[in-house]
Amino acid sequence: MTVGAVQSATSAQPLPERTGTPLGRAPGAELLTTLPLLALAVMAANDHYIRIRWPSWLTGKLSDFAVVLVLPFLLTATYDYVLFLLRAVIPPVASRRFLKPGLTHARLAVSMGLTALVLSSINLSERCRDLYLAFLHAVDPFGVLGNYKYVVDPSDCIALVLLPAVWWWGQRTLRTRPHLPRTES
Amino acid sequence: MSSALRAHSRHLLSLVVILAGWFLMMGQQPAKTRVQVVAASGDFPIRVLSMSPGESKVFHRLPSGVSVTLAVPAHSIEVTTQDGTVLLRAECQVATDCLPSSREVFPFHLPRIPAPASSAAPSGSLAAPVSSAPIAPLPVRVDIDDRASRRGPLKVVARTASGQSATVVYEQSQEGC
Repeated sequence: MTVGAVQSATSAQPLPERTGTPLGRAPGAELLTTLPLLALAVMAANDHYIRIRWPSWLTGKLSDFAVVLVLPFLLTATYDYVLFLLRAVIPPVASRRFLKPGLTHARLAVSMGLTALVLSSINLSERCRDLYLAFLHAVDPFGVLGNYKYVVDPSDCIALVLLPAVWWWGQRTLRTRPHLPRTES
Repeated sequence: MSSALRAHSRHLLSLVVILAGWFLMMGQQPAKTRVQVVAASGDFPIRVLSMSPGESKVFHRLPSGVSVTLAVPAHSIEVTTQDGTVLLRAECQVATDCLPSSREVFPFHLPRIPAPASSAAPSGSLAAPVSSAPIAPLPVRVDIDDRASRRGPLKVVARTASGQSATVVYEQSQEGC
């Protein structure tokens, strides 16, 4: 069943309250929309092929732009998935308002703020860069994903100009799929 | 049954995309290379990338497997006399995979300063007088010491037809990859 079919099927009756049942909407579904998926694909292609094959200022910045388009949705999706797991383990948490599942304006705004804060701080301050690297080493102590290094480069902050596009896409997602697809009738 | 299966598939897909996103995000680092001029010597000074000894610049990721290259598009090379007169200024046109093999002429063209018609140099041969009258035509050949650069610092050698030479040694450090 397509999303459109789900929406048309549910539009005839009031949407049930979002209870976040395990078989309901997919947690973090906002990440499964076109813009974040496209940005993820661009990031993967650029990091593993394009900028290796054609190193330049543009390909160097391409992944930064992709990060700005992906990270806010990745943060909200991760938060949503953690809530989903929490609800499965501790069902009473579902009743708390701020733990309700799904993308909201507030969550989108907070994740965009975090994205701007992180990206600008690690590209403007060596101290913040060091904290970021310490965090990466703590998360991946065995260096599975590589030997983490980062060059402070203020020009990378130019990618933040795409934040309005993130907000626009988030609004669009909320508007067109207010509760995100449900699979239960 | 199929509805439940679809729901589980969607949950799984969501989890996979989230994990893939973090995986890419953590692996995504603006890998750059710092290039520093560590030595310069010779009969006349050459300055590649307009850098002086001790000066360094950061470049975006270099091709993996190629340990040394200066082939960031549109960087310039200058050959000057000791009194600072510019003999030659050229731009590197090569984007990648550009570290020439040993002793091969570094492929430059001269887009900014046209050489006199009588001594116009073919692309790739790097022979061009670029300043005005007092400077005699000075064909210069630039070699990249590739063998040295693979394991150690990059050495750029410029030679004139009369046998004069100048060398610049660059040191590179991977700072972001």
